[in-house]
Formats: sequence, structure tokens, C-alpha cells
Amino acid sequence: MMRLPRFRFVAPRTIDEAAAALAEAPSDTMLLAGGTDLLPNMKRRQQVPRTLVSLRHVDALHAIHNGDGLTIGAGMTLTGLVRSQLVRNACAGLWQAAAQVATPHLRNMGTIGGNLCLDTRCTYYDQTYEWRQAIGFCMKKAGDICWVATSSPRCLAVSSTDTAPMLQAL
Amino acid sequence: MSAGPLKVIGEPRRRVDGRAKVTGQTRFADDITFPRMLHCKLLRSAIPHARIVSIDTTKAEALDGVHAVLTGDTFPIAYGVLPVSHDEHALCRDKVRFVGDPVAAVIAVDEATAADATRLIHVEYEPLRTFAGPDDSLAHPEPRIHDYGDEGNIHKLVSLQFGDIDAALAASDHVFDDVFFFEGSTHLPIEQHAAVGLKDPDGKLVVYSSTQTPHYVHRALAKSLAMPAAHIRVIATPNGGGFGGKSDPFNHEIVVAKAALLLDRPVKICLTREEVFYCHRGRHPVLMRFRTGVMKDGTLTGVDLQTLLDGGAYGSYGVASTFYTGALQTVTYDIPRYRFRGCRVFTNKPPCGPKRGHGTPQARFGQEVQLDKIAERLDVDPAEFRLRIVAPPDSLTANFLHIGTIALADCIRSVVRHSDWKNMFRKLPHGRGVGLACSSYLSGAGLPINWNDLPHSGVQLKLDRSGGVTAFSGATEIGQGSDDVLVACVAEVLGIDPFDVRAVTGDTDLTPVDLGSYSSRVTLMMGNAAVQAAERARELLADAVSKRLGVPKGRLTFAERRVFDAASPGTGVSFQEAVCMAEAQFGTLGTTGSYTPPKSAAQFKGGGVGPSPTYSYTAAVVEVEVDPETGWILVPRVWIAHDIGRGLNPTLVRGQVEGSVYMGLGEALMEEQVFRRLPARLSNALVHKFPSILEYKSPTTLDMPEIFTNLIEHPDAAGPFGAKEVGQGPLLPIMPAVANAVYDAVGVRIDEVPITPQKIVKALQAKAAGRDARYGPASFPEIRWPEPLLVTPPWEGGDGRASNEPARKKRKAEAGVEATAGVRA
Repeated sequence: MMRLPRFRFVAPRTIDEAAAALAEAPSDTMLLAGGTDLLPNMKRRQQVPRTLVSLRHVDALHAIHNGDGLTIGAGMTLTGLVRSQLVRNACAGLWQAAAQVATPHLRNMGTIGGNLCLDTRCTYYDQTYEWRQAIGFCMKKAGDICWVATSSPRCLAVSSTDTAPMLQAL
Repeated sequence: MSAGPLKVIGEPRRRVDGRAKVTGQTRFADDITFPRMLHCKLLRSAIPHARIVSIDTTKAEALDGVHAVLTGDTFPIAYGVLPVSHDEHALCRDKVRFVGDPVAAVIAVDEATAADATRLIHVEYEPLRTFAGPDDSLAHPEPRIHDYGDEGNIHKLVSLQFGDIDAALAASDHVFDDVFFFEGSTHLPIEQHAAVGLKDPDGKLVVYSSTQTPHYVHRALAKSLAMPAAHIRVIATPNGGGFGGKSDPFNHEIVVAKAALLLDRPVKICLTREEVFYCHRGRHPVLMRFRTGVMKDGTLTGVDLQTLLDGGAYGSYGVASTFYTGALQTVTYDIPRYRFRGCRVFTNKPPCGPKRGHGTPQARFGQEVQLDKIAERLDVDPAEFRLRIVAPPDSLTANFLHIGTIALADCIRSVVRHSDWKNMFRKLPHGRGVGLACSSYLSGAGLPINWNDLPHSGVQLKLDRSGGVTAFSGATEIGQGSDDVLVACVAEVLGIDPFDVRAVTGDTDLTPVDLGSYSSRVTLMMGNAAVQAAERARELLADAVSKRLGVPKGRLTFAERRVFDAASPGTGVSFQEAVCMAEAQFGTLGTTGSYTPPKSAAQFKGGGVGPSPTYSYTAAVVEVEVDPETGWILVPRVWIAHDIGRGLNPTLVRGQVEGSVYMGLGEALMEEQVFRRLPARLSNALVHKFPSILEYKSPTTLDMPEIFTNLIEHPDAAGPFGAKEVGQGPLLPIMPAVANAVYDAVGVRIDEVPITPQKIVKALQAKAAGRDARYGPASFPEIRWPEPLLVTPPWEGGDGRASNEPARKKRKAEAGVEATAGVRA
């Protein structure tokens, strides 16, 4: 099977601890907020961070408040968000967008924070290291041509997040 | 012995391996583990076509945890499944031929270390021209992908003629001339291929593998490792689906075997999903041209078929696949004259081979869509049209295939009745439609791959004083239910319960040879062998019981785990007592049965592909809903009737029919094994477009229609209890029935699969613009066909031989063309 690269796993309990872990080596560390996008990418070697900082145990990131406007913790799972009557009442559009993400299994793991920070996608990029090697890589990583449009000066990979457009609209 | 009513056969039962599978206890190849086991990863080529200049493995060898790095130097001997195309090495030696071709193997303490080490191997390549498709391969004979084959990059050219087809077409009222394309697709078994090699304590080689064909793996290992076959044991683990994708001997099996011998430690490999796409051996993409002559009354005068197969980078079963594209046109409908010309080319893509229906679904698609067009032109209902031309039973076809029973007409009538066809066809509102198509398939190939006179299947039975019966068979349980068929046949004959019979299968040390779970051959061939072995055992038991009880043998009945006097059922003994009596009389009990197909009437070269002990038949009606704006297509209902001869376990038969509908809809609507050729000015690359299940689209349970299955049972004397095949035939009518239904719904012809919304919209646009209301290939290329072998059809006095075979062979030899005479595919 496809294996993850080796990495150091940190599971802080507070936002301060998480920030400190991230600050140690920012360029080599990534936040894990569900992992439904990041872990497959790591298996394909699209990202190979030395350290993963899991946000699952940071309780402060799981809450939804309705004080001065609606506050949703970035670590809230999409299932949790869809089950929230507060969200459904206050932001029906966001609720609908979250409910449409992928499948129940992925919504159980995936978080709203993670969904907003998804890597952009492209069929020339969302492939294994060996496959990308066979096309000489591409502009998004390790190469210099965008194979979607070979004369394009910029990468044409697109975002697949369902919740960002709704949050922007809000 | 008196024959009572069947007790086991024909009753829907839970399959004998069902419990282990649903409780997760079945041990698949990747579940197998041994102490001190090492893990293997293959480095695969990232270049589609290149000469290997050098391979530097020093860095990989130096990595901590790496035990060995192997390259092609370790594997000098070529192998392959067909004797005519031994063109593979376990690891590439001089050349790589597609992205995914294995170049080196790392054996390490764990899979991750082995994978890391593969990235430390440096291979220097000298790239060669990339051949992306048949046009490239036909236009450019050099550089050759292989140094064998009929010419240049053409692997195989077939040219067969049965009667004067040109005269037949010239004398026809209409000649229909249509070009079709069938895109390639892959098997997509849930289980990825896995294998474990080890030395047993005696020092002999053992290989566990998720293979459909342990016998062919056994042969390939013996050849490629230059070892006596008797010192090799291949154990086929239950397969998590095969569909033809585990029918070849594979490079990874040979690599772990060799590594285990070299290191004296068990070595395992489990492929990733991406690697399974590279193993492939799936459906050949086929371009085809059908010219069919028809009289005003709807009788067919003859068919002239040409096919062009994109074979990919190796031979695999490809020569057989090529013949199969033209073999079975004649067994469904009465076709008095027939010409078939087929061409398979090599390209730099994963090799194609046998996928469910092996070579026949492509041409079946073309034939059934063309028949729909003919029926429309003649203004006759397509079901009625087909009923008029159904081939006769117990007859020889133009190409000398022997038809046994044929219940195709009953199948057609069944789906017409159940679907309410007469009130649906051409009567539904715009956007809704129904289509009908038929098919046929082999119940096992009549000739073996390796030309010999040996049985195709053997079964041994062991009976002892415990009353238990063990049935040994080389057939492989690939999910199709072959273990269940084995025990059911034995239990029926001996009058015991299937659960009383233990099946030991797919182990070359323990079980007699069976050629493998492919070609829809197991139920018929293993079943007949099992019945013979069981009848011989019954004979021994009856002899002993008859003597003891003083009841004439002819009156003894075997049923309900008893052996008793049919005239006085109270007089009898338990099955166990009967076994004891026989063991006392004859000594240790064991019987064997074997099966060899009848000799084929086709005696011409190439006539080895197509014959079968009997053929199954299927008819299907598919209903579609097509959105004329978007082309979006839904399939709400499918009616399908299958001529099964007799359903041994109707639960399994229905499962196979429904699974075929599922797979057929995948091919009809979405599945494509397609490739990306980057702009040639920038790159030589040619890669699989999406080697993952995320992007290779296949239907899910949510996409499945309601299926109405009807089994037509007219027992055929060739099969055990009259049974025919069901694993492959029911897939075939689905794709053309969908195409015909789309035409009924929105009035456009989609002459290729998959039938996607984009293609429907393009055809609708063409129709609106007054152009041909069709989407499909425009033309068939000019191919320099060899002089055809001329075989006179039976009704014109032919004897199954080609009149010009010796003369053609002589001319070919004189022309310096490498003769492949004597080798039948």
C-alpha cells in the first residue's frame, strides 16, 4: 500500500502550545486538522513536512459561540458543524455547503479549518511522486510548466473547498 | 443406482465460503505473514519507451534495512502466458516499454524502507520514440517495441475467410457499413494483487499469490527461474475479485519467488492501486468495421469484420484476444458467410489482455448496434428481427464452431415480455427509451493455451471412515463461487450435504491441475470432473453396501446422508457406514475425475480460438432516461434473461448476472483506461490519465438500476447437470443495449463506449445542424492484410480445413516472413 513518509507527531492541548510547536520550524511543519486532504497528499509526497501538529486535542478550537456574531472553532468537524442547530439557524448557506462536502466518513474527520486550507487540486498534481516524475513534474511543485496550459505564466490548479465561497459571501 | 430428484443442485443456497467472507476470516494474499518476512517494492519506469543504459543501485543497497536490490540481470529468461509471446522478463533488461514497467526490486525490512530505497536507484535511459496509439504503430515500423511479431510494431495479423463473402455482399439487397470504437477499461478488483514467496523447510519454493491461474504461474516460475516444476508449489489464495486481471503470471510473483530463494527468507509484495492499473491486462481498445449484407426479408447474407486492437506494451493473451474479437459473431445468428480480419499493435502503454468477456464484448457491441440500425431500416422490431435469425441448435457455424443447446430465442421472448417491450419501444416520450441486445459466451475454451492432450481439469476425492469427503481441485475461488460448485456437484452425487464436503483448491502441491479460473470454464470443466470422481466413489460405496445388505446395486439410492433400497427405504445404512463398508472392502478410498473438451471441428490455423463445449446466451433490455439539454443519462431498469442450461446454485447465478450488469454499465457509461500524451515538442511522456479509483469512474451501488433477472433452464448435455457458464456472457449485451436505448430516447447513435453526456450532446448538436445524428469514429484505417485462409463453410461442403493453408504457408516462408505455423493460439 502507499505509505506515509516518516514525520514527528505533536498533539498540543492548547492554542499556545500549538503555536509554539508551529514556530519551532515553520517551513517544515504543518497543521493537521482532520487530515483527509493532507495525509493522502503526504502519501503521494506532494507535501512532506517533518512535523505534524495535530489540532484535534485543542479543545478551544472545537467550540461554536453565538455572541457577537457566530464564532466557529477551526477544529470543528464538518459533521459537528452540520449537526449544530446554531449554525443551521444563523448561516443556512454555510450549513448547506458543509453538508455537501464529500462523504459522511470524510466529514466525520475533516474540519472547517482544514476545509478552508485545502491545497489546490489539479489532475497533473494530485498524483503520486512517481507519476509526477513521469511527466517531468509541473509548475505547482518541482517543475516549471503548467501542463493545463503550457504557455500559462501561472499555475492553474484550483481550490476545491466547498465552504470558502459561502464564508466569503457571508 | 436409482436416480432420484436433485436435492442440492438447483436449490438456492448460501455459498460454502460465505461465512468466512462475511466474518472477515478469509485469508487473502496480503493477510499472509511469516516470521522473518521481508517486503518488496518495485521501481517502475517513468519513461514510456527507452533503452536502459545503466542502473546504479549502490545508494539503495547502502540504506539501512535493505537486504537486496535486484535488476534484470537476475532474470535472464523470458516468460509469458501464451507460448507464442514469451516477451516479458520479471525485471526489464535492455528496454522499458511503458510507464510502470518494473526496472528494479528492493527487498527490505519493511515496505516503507523498500519504497525509500527505490528512490535511491539511479537509472540512465536513452529515450526512444513514444507510440501512443495504433495510428503511431501502424505508421512507424521503427523503432520496434518488440523484436518479434508479424511486422514492425504490428504484433498480430489475422485473416480468415469462410465462403465467398464478397459475392455474398454483392448479391445482398442492402450492405450496412459501420465503424465502431470500444474504449479500453480495466478490471478494478477490490483486492490489489499480492504475493508471498518463501522456501519451505525442505528448501523447495512456495509462492502464495492472488492469482486466477496457479497452473500458469507454476509454469512461468519453473521456466523463468529454471527450476523443476516439481520443486515449486503455488498456492492461489482466494481472490478479492479477478475479472481476468489476475490471469497472467506476473513479474512481482517471480521477483518475490527469486528473492525468497536468494535470501532464504519469506518475501512479500502487495501492489498499490496505481500499480494494479499498470499490471492491467484489461479490455483492449478496439476500432472495428462491420460490413453486413442483408436481404429485404431480414436474412443475413454475410458479415465482413475488421478489428484493430491497441495491445499495449506486451503480448499477454493478446493473440487470443485478437482472434476472440472475431470468433463468436456466428454463434448467435445465422451468418452463412463470414470474413474476419484482426490486427493487434504494440504501443507504450500497460499491456491489455483478458477482461470479463475477453475480446468479444467489443465486436459484440458493434454487431448488436448495427443490427439495431438494420432493423430500423427494414422497419422491423429489433426483437422480432433477431428472433428470425437466431442460429439453430446442434449445428456448426460458418467458422466451424459447434452450437449445442441455444435458448437465445427464449431469452429474447423473456425480456420482451417482462419489460413490456412492445408498449415501450419507440413509444416512450422524448428523453426516455429502451434498447435490446443479445450475446453469447464460451463455457470454457475448447483448446488449451499450451497445446497438449492432457485433461483441462482434474478432481480427486478422499473418503474415509469419518464419513467426511474431501474434494481436491486446482480451480481458484475468485469470488465467483467455484468452491461451492465443487462441493455441490460432489454432494449431489453422493446424497450428502454440501457442508459435509471439504474443498481444497488452488494448490499445485495438493490439488490436481485445473487450467484456472478464467474463460468461464470452471463450472463446466471442474464440475464434470467432480461429477465423474463422485460417481466413481458412489460406485465403490454401492458395491460394498449392495453386498452387505443383499440389495441389487441398481436399487440403491444415495440421499439424505443415507444409502438405501429405493424399493424399501427403511433398508439402508448411513453414508458414514457405507464409507466404512467400502473402506473395509476396497482399502483406502480415493477416486479421481477429469475433463477434456470434445475435439473441435475447426481444423484451420486460428481455429483454436472460439470452440467451446457449449455456449451460454443472454438477452437484455435496458431502459434509459436522457436529458436532451445536458446529455445526462440514467439507467432506471434492466431486464436480463440468461440461458444457463441449469443453475447449480441459483443464488450464485443471479449474483453473476447482476455483477455483469454492474460491470457492463460501468463500461457503457463511464469507465475508460486512458492516457495522457504531453505535447511532443515538450515531452516524451505518456502516462495513465488517472491511475486511482478517485478519478477512474466506476458505478457505485447508488448508480445501480433495478435488475429483473430471468434464468432460462434447458439443460445442455455438455455441462454438469446441464449447466453452462454465467460469469461473462451476461455482461456483453449491456453496452449495446444502452446505446440502442439512447437512440430510442433521443434519436442519436453513439457508436462508441463509454457513452458519456458530452458525446450525446455532440451528437444532438450534429443532428440539430442537419449533420449525421451520430457520435463515433469516422473511418477504419487501411491495413495491409495478409492473404486470408480460405475455409469453406460446412453447408458448402467444407471439412473444417483451409484450402490454401499449405500454399499460403509456403508463400509466406518464401517471402521471408517468420512462420508461426504449428502454433495455435
